Amino acid sequence: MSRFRARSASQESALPPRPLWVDLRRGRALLRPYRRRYLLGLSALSLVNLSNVLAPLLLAIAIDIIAVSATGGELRPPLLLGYLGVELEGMSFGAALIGFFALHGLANVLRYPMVMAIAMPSYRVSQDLRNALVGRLLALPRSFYDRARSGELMSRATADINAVRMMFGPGVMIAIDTAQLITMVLVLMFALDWQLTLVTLLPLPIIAWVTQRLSGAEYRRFEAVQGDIGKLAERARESYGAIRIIQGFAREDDELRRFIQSSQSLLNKNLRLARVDSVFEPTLGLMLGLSMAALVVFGAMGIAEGQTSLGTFVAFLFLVGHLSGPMVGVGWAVTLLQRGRASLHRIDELLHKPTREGQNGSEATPTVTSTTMLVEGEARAEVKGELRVRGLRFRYPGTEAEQGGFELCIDDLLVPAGSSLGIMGGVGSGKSTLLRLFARLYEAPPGTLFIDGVSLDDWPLAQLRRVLQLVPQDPNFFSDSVARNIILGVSPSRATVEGVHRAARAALLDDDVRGFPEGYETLLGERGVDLSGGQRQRLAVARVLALLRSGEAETLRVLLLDDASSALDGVTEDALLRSLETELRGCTRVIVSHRVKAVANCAQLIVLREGRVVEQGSHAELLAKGGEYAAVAAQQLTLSEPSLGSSKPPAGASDD
Amino acid sequence: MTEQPTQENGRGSAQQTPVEERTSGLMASEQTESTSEHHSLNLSRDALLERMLADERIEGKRTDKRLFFVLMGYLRPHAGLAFFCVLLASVEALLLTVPAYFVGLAVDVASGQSRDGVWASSLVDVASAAAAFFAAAAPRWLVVLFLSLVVVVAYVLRWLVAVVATYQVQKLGQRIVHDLRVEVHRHVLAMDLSFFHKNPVGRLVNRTVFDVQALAELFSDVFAVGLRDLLFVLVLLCVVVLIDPVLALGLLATVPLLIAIVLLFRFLARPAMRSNSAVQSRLNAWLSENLAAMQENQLFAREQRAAAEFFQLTERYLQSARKLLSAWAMLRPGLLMTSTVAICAVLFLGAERVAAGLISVGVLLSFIEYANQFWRPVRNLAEKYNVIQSALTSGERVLALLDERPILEDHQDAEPGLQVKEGELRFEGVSFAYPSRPGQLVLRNIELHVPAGSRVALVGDTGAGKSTIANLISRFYDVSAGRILVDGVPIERYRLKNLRSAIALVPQEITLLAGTIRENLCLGAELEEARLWEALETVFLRKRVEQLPKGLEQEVEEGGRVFSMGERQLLGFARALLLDPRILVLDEATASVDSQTESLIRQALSRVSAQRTSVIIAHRLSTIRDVEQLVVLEQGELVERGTHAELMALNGVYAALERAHQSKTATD
Repeated sequence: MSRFRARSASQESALPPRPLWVDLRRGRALLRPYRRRYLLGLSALSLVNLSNVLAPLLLAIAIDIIAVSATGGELRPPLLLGYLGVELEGMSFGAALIGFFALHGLANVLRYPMVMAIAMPSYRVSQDLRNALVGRLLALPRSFYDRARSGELMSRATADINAVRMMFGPGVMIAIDTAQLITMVLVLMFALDWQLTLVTLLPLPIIAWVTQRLSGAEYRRFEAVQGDIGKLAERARESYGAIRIIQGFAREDDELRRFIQSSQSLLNKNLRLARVDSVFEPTLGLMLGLSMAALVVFGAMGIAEGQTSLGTFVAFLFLVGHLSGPMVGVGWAVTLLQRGRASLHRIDELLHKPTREGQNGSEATPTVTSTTMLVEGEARAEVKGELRVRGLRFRYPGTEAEQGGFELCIDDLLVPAGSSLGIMGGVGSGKSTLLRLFARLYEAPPGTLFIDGVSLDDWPLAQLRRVLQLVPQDPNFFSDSVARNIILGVSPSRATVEGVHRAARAALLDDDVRGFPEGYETLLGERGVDLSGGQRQRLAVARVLALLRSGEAETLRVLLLDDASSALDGVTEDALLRSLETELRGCTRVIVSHRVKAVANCAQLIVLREGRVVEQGSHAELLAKGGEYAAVAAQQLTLSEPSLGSSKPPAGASDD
Repeated sequence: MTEQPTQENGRGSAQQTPVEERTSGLMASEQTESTSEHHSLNLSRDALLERMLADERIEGKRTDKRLFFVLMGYLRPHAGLAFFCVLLASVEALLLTVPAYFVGLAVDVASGQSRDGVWASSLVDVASAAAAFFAAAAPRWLVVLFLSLVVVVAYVLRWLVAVVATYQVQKLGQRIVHDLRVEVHRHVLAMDLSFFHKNPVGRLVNRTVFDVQALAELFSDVFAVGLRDLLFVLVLLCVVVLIDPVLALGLLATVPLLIAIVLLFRFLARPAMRSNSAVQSRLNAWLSENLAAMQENQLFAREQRAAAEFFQLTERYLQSARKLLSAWAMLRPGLLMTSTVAICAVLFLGAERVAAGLISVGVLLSFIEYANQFWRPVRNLAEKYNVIQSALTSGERVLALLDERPILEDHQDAEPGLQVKEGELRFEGVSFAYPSRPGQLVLRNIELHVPAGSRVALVGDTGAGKSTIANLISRFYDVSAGRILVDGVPIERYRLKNLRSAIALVPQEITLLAGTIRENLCLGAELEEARLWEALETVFLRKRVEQLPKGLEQEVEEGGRVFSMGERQLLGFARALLLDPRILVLDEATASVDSQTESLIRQALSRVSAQRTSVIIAHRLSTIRDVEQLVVLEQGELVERGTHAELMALNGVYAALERAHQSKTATD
């Protein structure tokens, strides 16, 4: 009984209701490109229904002809046709039979184009929405993703889109179909025999009532089942997440016992639901049965007294059958339409999200223009890569001072072109924030960050993305080949195998990749290999190195490494840093790290604490100063010095 | 068509070898496909989609049959209930054939026709007799009334039987699913750690909970309903043959037509469905992956290319959806047409037979009604085709999971009764490489002896192999070379359960399960209240817990974290204590805690490890100074060994570490 279950699938956020006429206008706009087909489909639907409803009439005539020939008596056309002045004199049994067959044939032949003509536009509309949604998602700023839950975004792009499709497809079709069928059948039945109609229709309202009552109960119990499924999933998730504890303490049996309890509870809830479910369909059958019994009693009496023709009786039998579908269809259509509307609201809400902080959303057209939408200055001919921070005050959007969110305050900082800056500091000291601001994942206040003396917001974003890159601490990859992940940022026409290999070699990844089953063509991700933490970080470095000498007019000038070697062991990290040193000759580098060794060679070092620079100078200067940096350095350098002696770099990462 | 985002067309640089000439599939030729970016992003390049399509094709027939038998196996414990369900379904099917028959009978009586056959006439006689009870000369309508009363009674009975049957079938299905769910969970719990590395938790949860749930729907919506429908068709067939074999033949003549339509549908729908489901998986994978990697999309200014990629996928989806839809759109009219043909055949044959006086009009009517009903079950079943398909896919996945055997099972030589008594621990020439990277030795030729009740501390840089040693002791992995002995017996000879219940593991990150403190201490076992408090006392947590509003019943995750990192560590100790293990494996937390907590941890550690063989993975040298044996590891090799004093005297790696530590604590 999936029609009721469908209802609960997506009802997370309650948006303010939108008036029906707005939705109608929105629906019309969405369907506009496909309206001709859609309307054609809907007219085909009317034809299908008409022939379906008329067919029993011919069947009735055929039966009457047979009955008259068998029992004798007068052949009378069914009432309606009598009124219309149709004479049955010339009508043969064969003609009626062929007519019956032809009407059904017509209906069924029309059904195919009808379904296609209605459903394809609904698919098209949902594709348009899907693409628009993804376009908007790609354009939304980083700060949006800090607050959004990916599960919810996924459900917008999948469940909600699907609900909209169901609304425009089956929803509209069933609604119109139901309305037409009920009208046509009722008209025909009344025209044939209004007394018999009234008698027959008596039990039918009960169907609507029963459906209503039962679906309410079904809905609540279904919710309970869903809740239990969620709990069970949570229990399983927890067990598998803590598997080391469970196995380590040999507590599998206890764990299993608790799972069985949860599963048993779900079983009971399912049975409660089954109790409603099991009444539903049989009750519908019973109501139709009562209808038929009433028809038999009064119809047969009519036949006995010669008031009702046998044919009319047969026609009624069929027409009552036609009514059973619509009786259930009403509830179904209402559900689909309601769900679709709610989903459309949620999708539209996302489509109207501003692509920049403080900017209002534009019309919900597919926009993938985040790189061009921004007001920006002209592209620079030559980029040197000098970085400057002046009077920076930054707080993440949404974090207020009262809530204790920290503020990044850097008054003056200069990294000359081609030079390097090392940043150290505790968790939450603002190291990564500074890098993200330079990479423009977040917007710094205008006139606080400069490249080559030009305020960051005056740079065209597209150019900035080419000359400045960030290697994040926890990079993400795509379920694609290793090679394609390396050349992620290179435009396809310039990607070369040499480039891929060189970047991988420079990032010390080549050996690892050659060990994979299909080398550089190995897929990453769920259906491919899982990379270790260290491999991930080296791949992220390779991805950026691929931008170097990729043949692009502009090449990388500034590289920001956000603790990008934290998962590597000391030796590998050291080798990687040395490799970067040669690869990035002439590039400005900013290196954030927890390890002194990673930043010791930087021309300039700063130590951040709670968003403020507390120490600044070269490695030697800071050591001499004997502050925080010196303390950390003393501990770390002695700790890892012994391992520097052994030359064999363990190519794997230390992810155990 | 959507407005297509445009993308600059690449102007290739001639200097370098274009990729596509070197590796196939890396970069398909751009210009040959089309000039626009959308088309140049040929989907044949989507390696993941290709793999998904291939996977979809492999699955299928082979496992369908097995799945059926596996489910049947689960049916066995509920054989009684299953039999009852079949019985009810048969009764229901029989009842469903009654109304049409009596309607025909009533029509005959009403129109004054007589009917041949013992059954029919005696039924009419009974009805007439009943009617005669009320009026001496029973009018025809009274007989009709009684006949339709039979119809009503049949419907009411059918309602009753159907309600009970539907519920019982659901009960059967849900019980089977419950059994299966528990079985899958039991199976997963028994898997080794490398299995958990390979399979993300989310995927496993999907298998245990959601895929099994899909099987429940397969059972209750398809198996059960299908069985009832099948019985109905069979019963109906018997009834029509009994009433009039010739007309029954007319009805059956449409069977080939039906088969043809179903086969055609399968032929059209199967490939469409497979590719549709693959493309849909790809679409969802694309979405979740790109949502996760939005940072990358922005950093590499890939927004337009990503949108183009997605557009390609949605177009591909549309194509496959159209094919699938087309198969569906053809199926329903086809099946409806079968009914029409059946009715026409019955009418055609019936007309002559009525004219010849072989049957009455009522019989013909019954037949028309039967013809109408005959294919309805088939229609119902066909319309569940995609429910069936997706449930089968779920079933295949569950089966595949059940087929996976843990790499680490009880060894064949394992002695069931063998228990760890003393806890003496010995490593003999142990080398180890992770199964995923067999070439790289993480541990090399480790020799280690820890006498029962004594302590050893492992010291070394990250990646030196300390945690690996801990994992090997609990046999989360098997050694690659050498052997590990507990009480002089190789650990493979213990049953995993016996070995592990003798070892308590205190990991770096104490995993607190959502639940009360009591639940977190007991981990599912039943333990006395007094013991719990005693353990808390030992680890200095008694006061802390007593002060909580709900004491032991305090929910751990309620309103944020109740415990600090240091307290979690102590809670981990308490857990280990309650297990009363012979061997304690302790991975010291790296997270910095305040000095007061640190001193508490140090004291608790010495209390917990007293009289127990203890393996301590040290990160703070201060905690382990008085440990009997210190072992320094470097890149998987054991380089120094001895007491604190001995190692300081050696003036090697350990001494250097210690000095660094000293200077650090001095500056703190």
